[in-house]
Amino acid sequence: MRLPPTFIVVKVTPPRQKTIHVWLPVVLLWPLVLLLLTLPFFLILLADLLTLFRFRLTRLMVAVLALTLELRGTCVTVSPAGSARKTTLIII
Amino acid sequence: MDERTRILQMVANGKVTVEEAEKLLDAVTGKEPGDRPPKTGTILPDYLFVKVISEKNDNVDIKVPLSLIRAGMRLTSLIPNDAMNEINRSLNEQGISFDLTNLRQEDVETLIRSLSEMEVNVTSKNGDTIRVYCSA
Repeated sequence: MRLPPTFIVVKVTPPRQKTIHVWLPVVLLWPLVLLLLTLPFFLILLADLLTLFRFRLTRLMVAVLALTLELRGTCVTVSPAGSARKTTLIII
Repeated sequence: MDERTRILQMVANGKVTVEEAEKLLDAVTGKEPGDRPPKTGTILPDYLFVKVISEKNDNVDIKVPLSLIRAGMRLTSLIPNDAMNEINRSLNEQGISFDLTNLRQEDVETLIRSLSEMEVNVTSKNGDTIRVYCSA
């Protein structure tokens, strides 16, 4: 079973200084997101039932959620010109 | 100035790290990097890498899980028929005979498997280098 992203790590390496690590615990947001999504999910399901699944809204919502789950492992590193600073974003 | 000298010059100027230069040299010489999986067709790649190394030192390094691309491809099945027909017509106008309505899960898997053998290396006139490849 795939789990949603648990942490977002931002690493900033200023020139000639130690790397700063910022750990954002996305895991703490899970209960809140779950709460916020429950009502819309049932409303969407109801809308889908009323329209006889013509717009496939429930499937769309599930697919978007699946896409969010697969974000784990994404890593983006940017080193802009003119500054020796390097910024890395990791989703784990 | 040939590619090899240019890369070595970039290392000397501190524009790229030794590790990045090694990968670039591998790309230029067509050699496989040591950390890449063998191209046996049995090992599926896990990540898609996009590396941009510019002459002005604007460097971007992106690692995207291929499962994300797989999940994104699944979304195509949810595109409404009218929109899908419009996309197909536009693709045909551009000379791409690719029908998205016939895209099945097996096709997506084949496409991702084929990505393990794909590598795109672009070196522009001003020395910017873009490398796209898949690896485990």
